[in-house]
Amino acid sequence: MGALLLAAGGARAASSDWGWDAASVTPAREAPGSERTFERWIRFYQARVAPLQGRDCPCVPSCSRYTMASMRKYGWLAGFFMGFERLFLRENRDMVLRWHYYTVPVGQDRNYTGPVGQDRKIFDPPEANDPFGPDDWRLVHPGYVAALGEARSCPEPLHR
Amino acid sequence: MSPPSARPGLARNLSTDDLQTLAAGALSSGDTFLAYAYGMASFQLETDRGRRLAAARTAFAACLMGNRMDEAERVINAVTAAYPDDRALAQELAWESALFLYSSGKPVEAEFHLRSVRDDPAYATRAKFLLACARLKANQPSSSAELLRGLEADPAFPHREPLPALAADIERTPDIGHKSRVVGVALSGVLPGAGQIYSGLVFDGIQSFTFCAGFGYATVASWEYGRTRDDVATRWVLPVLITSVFAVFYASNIENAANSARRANLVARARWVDGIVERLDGILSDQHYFLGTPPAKPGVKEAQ
Repeated sequence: MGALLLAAGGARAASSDWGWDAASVTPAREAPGSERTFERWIRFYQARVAPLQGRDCPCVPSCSRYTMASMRKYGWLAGFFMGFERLFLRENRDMVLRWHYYTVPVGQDRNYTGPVGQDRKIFDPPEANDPFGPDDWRLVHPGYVAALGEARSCPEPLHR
Repeated sequence: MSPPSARPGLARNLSTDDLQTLAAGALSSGDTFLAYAYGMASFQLETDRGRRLAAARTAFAACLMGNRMDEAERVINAVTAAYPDDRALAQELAWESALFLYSSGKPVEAEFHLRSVRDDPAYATRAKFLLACARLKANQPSSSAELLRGLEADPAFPHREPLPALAADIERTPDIGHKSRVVGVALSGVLPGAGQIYSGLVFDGIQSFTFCAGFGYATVASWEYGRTRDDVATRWVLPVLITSVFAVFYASNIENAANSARRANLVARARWVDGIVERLDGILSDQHYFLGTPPAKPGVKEAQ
């Protein structure tokens, strides 16, 4: 039993489309009024423009998801500034150097520890960039997503 | 084609033995839902106490493997309801749940399970240590340090030596990271990018300075140029547009300076806690003490 416990610790359930693995999904929050306009633009960008671009966003959540989540959580003006700030002032060498960010593995190679690239992305949720947010270090740490649960505004899975 | 019930060899009822075999098979093949379902069916139908508990254990193991803590709780409740006088197994399952939840990154839920075992003398010391770990992961460093200090003098705890240093480091957690948001904002207000550099984000600072300086210059130049022209577009529209863009960059620079200071502190603190958690996990890796597994025999090398 002990070995089983240790082996199962932190493991994810095998995916299946029946039984209890057909888990309940957190429904997306409906954005009210004016936010919908911005969301429509962002969704258009995600559907039509982003696929034409050469490379993926180096962050999780991606910049468009980050902006949408910020707008939902902090209002459209603050959300716009947060998205703008990430796009124009923060996506640079500082992100790649990873001194001020944690990274998360994407895809299957979970033990990859090399530089940011196709297998590893910067973990940068909106809560980590709220200047008036709580001084809770778990907000910047990808290992505490489960611990913070619904306190996060980006319920989408990290590993896509 | 004849119906399945008419096939020879299939006209026999499933026994609880069959259910247990199916549960064990499903568990070993990783189909946790089936293992849970067969295990619980066997638990409900079996009459022998030992076999019932074995079935419950299989179902419980399936819940842990499938990360289904609600169902795991249901197994514990079923065992408690079936054998209200014998709390030992229910306590053991609750303890294993707590360990599993902690290792799965759910310290708050782990603490919930620890409540039922922490008063049991068989688990009190172990539970206190795990609670200290869970409180640290739940961002309650003072409570965590206090629990560890309580364990320092407890002779029942075999890993007392590193506890004073661990408690001291945990208490230091809130002091890690000393960048001031106010200083960052003030610096970036005077010189765009300076606040980011103060927080250690040199490239952010250079980028902020470049955009703000570029659009700042463009703003001044557009107003200067507009003065020399009579048409509305050049006199007003263009300068107002460029000024708006400059304002957005300048405001973002201020916000970025505040974020940078906060994020620098949070990341420094998170890395500090990572180091402490690693040391705590080193103690938790003593399976003999925490999980009751038999100790490794001296002189016997583990299989490579």
